[in-house]
Amino acid sequence: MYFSSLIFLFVYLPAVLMIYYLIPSKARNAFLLFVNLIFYGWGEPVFILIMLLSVTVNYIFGYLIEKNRENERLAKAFVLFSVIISLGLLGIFKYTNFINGLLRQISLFAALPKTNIPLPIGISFYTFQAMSYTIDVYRKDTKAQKSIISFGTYVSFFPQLIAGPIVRYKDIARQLEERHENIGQFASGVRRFVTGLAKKVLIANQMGLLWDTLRPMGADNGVIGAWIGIIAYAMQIYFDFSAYSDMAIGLGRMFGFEFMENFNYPYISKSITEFWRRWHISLGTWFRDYVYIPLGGNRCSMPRHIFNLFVVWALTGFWHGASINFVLWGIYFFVLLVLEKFVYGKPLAKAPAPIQHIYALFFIVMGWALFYFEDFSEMGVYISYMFGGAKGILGADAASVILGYMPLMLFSAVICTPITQVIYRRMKKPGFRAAAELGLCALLLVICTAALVSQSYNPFLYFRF
Amino acid sequence: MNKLYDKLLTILFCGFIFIMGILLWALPKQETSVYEKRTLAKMPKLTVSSVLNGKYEGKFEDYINDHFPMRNSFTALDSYYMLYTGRNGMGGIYKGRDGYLINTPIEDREEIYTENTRAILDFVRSTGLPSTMMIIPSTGYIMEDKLPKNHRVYHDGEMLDKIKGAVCDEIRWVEVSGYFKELKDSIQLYYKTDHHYTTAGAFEAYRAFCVERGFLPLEEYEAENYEGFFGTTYSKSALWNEKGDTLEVWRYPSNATVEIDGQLYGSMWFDEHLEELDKYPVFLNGNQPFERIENPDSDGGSLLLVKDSFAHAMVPFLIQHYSRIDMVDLRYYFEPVSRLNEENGYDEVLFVYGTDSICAGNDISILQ
Repeated sequence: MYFSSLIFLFVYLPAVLMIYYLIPSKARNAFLLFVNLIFYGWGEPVFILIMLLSVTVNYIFGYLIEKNRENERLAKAFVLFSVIISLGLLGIFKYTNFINGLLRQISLFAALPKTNIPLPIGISFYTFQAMSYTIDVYRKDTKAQKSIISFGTYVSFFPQLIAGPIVRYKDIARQLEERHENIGQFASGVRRFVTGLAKKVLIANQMGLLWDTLRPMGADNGVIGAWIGIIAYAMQIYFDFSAYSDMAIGLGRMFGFEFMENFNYPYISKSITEFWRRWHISLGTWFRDYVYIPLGGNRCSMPRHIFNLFVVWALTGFWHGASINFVLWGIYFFVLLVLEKFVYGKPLAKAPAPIQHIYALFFIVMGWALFYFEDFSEMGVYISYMFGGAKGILGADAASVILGYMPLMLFSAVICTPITQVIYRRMKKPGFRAAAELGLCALLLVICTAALVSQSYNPFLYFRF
Repeated sequence: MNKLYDKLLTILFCGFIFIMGILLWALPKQETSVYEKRTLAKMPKLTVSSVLNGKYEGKFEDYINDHFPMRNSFTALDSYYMLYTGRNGMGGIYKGRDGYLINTPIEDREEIYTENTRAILDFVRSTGLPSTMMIIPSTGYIMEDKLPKNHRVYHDGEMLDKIKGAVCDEIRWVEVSGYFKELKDSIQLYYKTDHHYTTAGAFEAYRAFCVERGFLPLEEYEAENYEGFFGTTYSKSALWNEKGDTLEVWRYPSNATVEIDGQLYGSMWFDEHLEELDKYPVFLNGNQPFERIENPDSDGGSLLLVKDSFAHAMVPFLIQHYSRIDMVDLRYYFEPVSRLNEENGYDEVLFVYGTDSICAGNDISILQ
């Protein structure tokens, strides 16, 4: 199930909210676990088993680690086991097809059967959450959870199940036991959720449409058309991903949870280093705390430091998808980050601000070209269009399409900056601010609903009578 | 103070999703969607196996989507929102000047129409029938001045030239595009709310055919007007506030009969469709796989008409010159057409298509 669907908004969510607030506090975690599984298994009930396996295994290991905490070697063995099982699940379900495909290209393994294992949604997110739990218990950063229901609620919590943020157990351990749902938090959840819904439905989906319209026109787009195409994709991916985080944070608040922020206006960054402090923050901190720092971080020799960075970024890339281009995408950022750290970081920081922005945006957008195309020849062709290989400056059809989307693109570009936040804070009169907010919220809800309904409107014009 | 606003915001949000959710179940359900011309999804049966294999969930979602309260109004709201934020035509229909709702151009994909013309040429060669072809250009190509300022280019001219070049040595080509371009300012050739040509447009196409074929066109008829015609481009646009068009039926006394599925009808005009929003099926009862029209008052030959729906408005004129017309629609007729020819021994074959069918459809390629 997805947030931006009629069934979620008008069937699942109202039902879950109503029952959640009708039942006593003690029953709420169990109820959440139950509805999480419905949410997760909707359309693919088989995946519930993988989820339950992940929950049970990590719960048991969390318990074992804590119980044997005095015996360092045993505790270490348990945490190692739990991590291996988690990574094993992730490996089987996310990477088997890819690795098998690579192996089959080698003549020795050519006889391997072709695999086609479907990817359970959200597995990359909840596996990382579950791993953070056993590791934190091992590190004594948190106590083991006694109740498997509460632990299951945490791992499978539907707001952040599909696309993050990757919530660490220790950050919400207390909220699982006692949280004080209140109207202020609920309302702020509504604000956040509606913002996210609008970003997803009214911007990300439309930018996706623009990208899908321009891309097939290939060389006919012209150079500018090719650039606008990839910029539309950059917009799509940011608005899509950050919208999911907004909706997750908003929904979390409606149930009394506070999640960490996941995006902080990444496209206003002045360097790639800054970009990665603002983009998918929960993943960045996860890799920092569980890979980079354990490897020694930056408190070691320079070659070792560079090696640590390499490992983190290759893994970050690979986490995003089981394909070579994602690994390359990670390594691409590794190179840029190393260059910024050791080569031109200081002079760059002294350059005029517009130059820094252009530098950062250029490499971010090029990164999305790496990210999008899994096929390298397609990638090469598209990038060549961007650098003069297309027909002319701007094709006629591309110009017409781009002109149509221009108002939305410009608006979206503004939304990429914190300017609306600034305006919001400057609204001094609380009455005016509240009225504006209520009006906007109502308007966005109605337009988003209209857009979702319209997706299901499929005229069948050549009907046979 | 703040708490009050928080309450209002919460009530607004929860009120909206709860009320819509309740209406979703409480409102009476429709079985069909008139605008979409399709039956709406039914509530699926709950069984263990359908839940486990995910089919139930998919169908349940279809049901929710199809029966959402005020579905048509929401769809229109989205269409107008898109229109007024600059995205005219992004849903496949341009809202043009003077109430024209026009299909956006199709892509020039040569491989499709080369394949279609190849199938047609093969058929003509193997049957040896004298053959004629007429392609009706799309509204946007002819009525360019009715399009919004920002629109994509229509390639009908180049595409039809290529088709003509490929077939004109073996098939008699009736030039419609050039003729329509001359007429477009004096006659309303196309509907504003539908992708077809008007009855007047069909008549002009028929006149062009008569000139090529050496017939004397029909002269006496009575035009009847039917207002409130909302056709395909209207349905597709979901811009419900746009005005309807007028559909004309040009009648004359005729003894022609129509045979569909073994049933005989005494008229070529199926007036019951004039009550509907989309009135175009008034001609020959809309899309049928095979239709036989016989005119006892004509001593002309028999014609095999391979066509899409553009032929429907023209056949009532054409039948003047033939004792029998057999119409085949390759979108729904899957038997070999050559066998029909063997059984019926036609005197000639005519191909009538809109640009979109011959240049973007795959149905003609099955012709044999």
